[in-house]
Amino acid sequence: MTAESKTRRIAVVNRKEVVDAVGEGLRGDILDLGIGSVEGVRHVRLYALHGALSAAELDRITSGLLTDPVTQEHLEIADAGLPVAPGEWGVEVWFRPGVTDAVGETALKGSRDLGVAGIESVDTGRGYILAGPLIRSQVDTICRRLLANDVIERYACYEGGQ
Amino acid sequence: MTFEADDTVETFSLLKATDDEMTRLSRDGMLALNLEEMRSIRQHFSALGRDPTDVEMETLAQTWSEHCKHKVFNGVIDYVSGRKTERIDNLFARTIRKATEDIRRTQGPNDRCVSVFVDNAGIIEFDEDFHLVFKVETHNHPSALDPYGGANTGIGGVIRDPLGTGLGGKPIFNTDVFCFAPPDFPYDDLPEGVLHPKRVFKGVVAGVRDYGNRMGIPTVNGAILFDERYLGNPLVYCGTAAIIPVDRCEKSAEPGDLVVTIGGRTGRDGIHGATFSSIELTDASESTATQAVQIGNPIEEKKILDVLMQARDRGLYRNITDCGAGGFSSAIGEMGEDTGAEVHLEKAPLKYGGLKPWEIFLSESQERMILAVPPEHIESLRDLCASEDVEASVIGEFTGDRRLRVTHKPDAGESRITVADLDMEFLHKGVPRIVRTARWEPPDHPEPPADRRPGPAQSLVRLLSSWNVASKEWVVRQYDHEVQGGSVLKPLQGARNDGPGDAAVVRPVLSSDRGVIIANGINPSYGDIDPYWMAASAIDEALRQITCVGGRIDRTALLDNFCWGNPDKPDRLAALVRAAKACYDIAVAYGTPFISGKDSFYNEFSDGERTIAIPPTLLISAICVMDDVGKAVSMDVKAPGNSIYVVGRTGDELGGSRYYRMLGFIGRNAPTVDVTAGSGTMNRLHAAMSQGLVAACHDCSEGGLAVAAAEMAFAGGYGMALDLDAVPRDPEVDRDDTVLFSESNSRFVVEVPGGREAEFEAQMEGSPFGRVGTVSGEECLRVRGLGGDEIVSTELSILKEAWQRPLRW
Repeated sequence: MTAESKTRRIAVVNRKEVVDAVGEGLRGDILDLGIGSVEGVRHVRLYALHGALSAAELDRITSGLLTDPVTQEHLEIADAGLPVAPGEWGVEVWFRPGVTDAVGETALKGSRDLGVAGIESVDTGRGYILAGPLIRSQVDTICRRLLANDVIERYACYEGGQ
Repeated sequence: MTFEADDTVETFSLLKATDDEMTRLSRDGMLALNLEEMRSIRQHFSALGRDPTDVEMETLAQTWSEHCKHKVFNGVIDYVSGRKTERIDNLFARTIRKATEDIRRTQGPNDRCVSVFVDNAGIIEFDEDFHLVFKVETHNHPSALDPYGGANTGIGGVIRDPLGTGLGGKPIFNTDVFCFAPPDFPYDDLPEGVLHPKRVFKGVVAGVRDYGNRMGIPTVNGAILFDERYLGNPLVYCGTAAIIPVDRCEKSAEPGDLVVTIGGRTGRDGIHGATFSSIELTDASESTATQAVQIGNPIEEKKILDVLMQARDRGLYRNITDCGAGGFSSAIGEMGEDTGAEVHLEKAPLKYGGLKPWEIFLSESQERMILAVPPEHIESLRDLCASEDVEASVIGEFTGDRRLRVTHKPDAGESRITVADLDMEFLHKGVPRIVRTARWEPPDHPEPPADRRPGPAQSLVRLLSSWNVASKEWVVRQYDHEVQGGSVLKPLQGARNDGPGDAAVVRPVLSSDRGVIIANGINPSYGDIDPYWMAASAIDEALRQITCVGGRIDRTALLDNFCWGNPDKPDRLAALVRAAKACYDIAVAYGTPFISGKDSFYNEFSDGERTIAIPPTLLISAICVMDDVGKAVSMDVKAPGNSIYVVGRTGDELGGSRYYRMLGFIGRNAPTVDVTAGSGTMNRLHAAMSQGLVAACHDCSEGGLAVAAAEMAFAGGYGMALDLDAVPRDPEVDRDDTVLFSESNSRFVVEVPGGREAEFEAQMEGSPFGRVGTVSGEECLRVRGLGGDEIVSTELSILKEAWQRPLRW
């Protein structure tokens, strides 16, 4: 049986007991922006795997390549589907088309080295989950000033529980 | 996987164009060619009786860009100073290059230069088996737009320079120097289109870190400077040193050799990088320059490095260069300058379809090298590349007709069309020389009033906490400075490995005790008073640092990197002339040749209302060969009871100092350089070190004697008791703060082991020196002022905390 070619989105996050240094650093930078209502930032590594993958192959890539099982865990998500609780904001940052994605290229090669022939390409992105009473204009400011560089990246932000 | 190109080739209607139309063609096409250059091109093609193609125009624009041809340095400058006008025909040849020529002639058999100013990097002698290769580049404009990618490709690009020098050097370390606006710059005052300096800072550091660390090259040296005028134009200097076998330094392509590209594929990234860097940034640059942004892939470059070292040693190629600004057009155009070359564009592997021929030829996609491969070696090279998972493609051959011919097969068919056919002579020598006026008007900045200066202890703490002086440990710790195992003296030194080292010492051949010292001098602050003394001070600072760790100035070579504003403006150009003149005077007097360098102009930002130019910024990198790394000296004090000496004369030279800046002033007296005294001091100090008479040595630079002493004390964990009256100084120096904070050049704070003072003093005879105090057992810095009172008595923990706190991110 051949699997159908489609896009699977994988989110990789630190396990709860592991310090999220990137998130903590960003929280400080957001406070520097003068946005004091931010209470926490969690950093998520995002991968979009394009191709015809069986469940076993998907697991081989996510568990064997994209995730460090000691410090991280992963989950498959939908488009705009970061695990955002009500009152939190999710932000996704992806490269604009044509911008070199070196990590994506390396993940593609790694997947093929694992024997997954059906994989066609890998895109990488970054996700952020912002906690605290924030309004959209503040989240936009955070995105423009800290999280995304409009020259090479596009971003989307959405409120949890909507 | 292969992709199809878009076959469209357009012709520029140049022959009948008016001046206005040509100006518009250049501007709309982002060619950065001025009217005179457009006219030269029109004249050339008129004689040929045809219009140029877009491939030809783009190639000429790249090759003639300031970035590639250094038109300002090589042009004609009328330098006006007061009532005098001096015509300078080729500033570079008359200052930087002349310094090297004069020094080499004087040194005769002791000349240690191997290759200067001709290859991608400079080469000097190291030992019997290897020479030393060194290059420093800038990547300012890309880093302003995308700090991570810009710095990433900055370091990636400069690594390819030694790799493309001779037949290829193996990188041994990186050095990185950055200039940013202060990280606490108010968000609300940020001009449109400018990234906040803290974000630029973090992105640049991450970019350098990720590339250097992943390539397995230690980053051992650097500096970070802050000034608000770097807001729109941060500066990112990246340098790489390498070793190369002594019999692999010569290269030349022969007719019949194949043009081979290895490494990354060609995409649309980085189009117009060279011309882009020759244009001032505006608030619209962010989006119009999207294509100028490049993203690096260090893993790809590491594979290329591994292939090249093997191919070099097996003699599989005759010439090599990297694809930098201008991509294939520059690399193949320069490599085939003496022979000629024909390129078949359809053979270039592409990242994706739809690239036009000129885009393929001009693309600045990263991680690509061009080789000249004799046909009999191509199969061996292909096999070697395949074994390391590196793509290699033959895209043409070197000819014998001294023309650059670019051909293409449209629609993947059989018929071949010519899309560019340029005379190498016109391509490389046809650019009209520019004539510019430089006008020097000495500024007059007031001195701070005497009654508005805080006390010495308070000033010292504030200086230690200033952005420029504060610890850069947060940055240094992100860099791998240990990989390859040769780092002897590292960037952080002392009892707790957190003191600021003057220079790094690396042992590139692990079976030998011979080492390389790397240091840098940079202080744009003095340039606000006189760029001449700024440049002189930068050279002196770099040589002081070399001396501090055990190096000899007669074994030292220099690199110059000029970052300037718009040189079309007479005041900016005058600053350049003065700095270049100082480079000649001071380098010749010290006997330290320049072996390579680079310039970056147009570092100005305009948001419609105001134009901010960076302060003229000259980075001097110094590299020195050291016979025995076991003799290296670190900067931290070692033991209570040892004596502390100040060597070198202290003058009333607070102009441009950190102390005056802290008070909100610039002042009048920038530090000058007395080379006779300076070289005497450095040579005597080196002799003293060779005899084991020096336990620690630190140079006096930003913050002067007080900051140097404090850093030595808290790095070593022991206090000091000092008496300012014993500091050798000019007769007019009668204020405590002048002695403490003046930034006079050629000065050192030296720790001498107890009991060996007489030997040290005998050795230093002829230089100004004074025994100013001792290392104490208490963790406190005590200073007695000129009047005999104790003016500083501060716990080391307070000083160290002040110094570490600002950048503890």
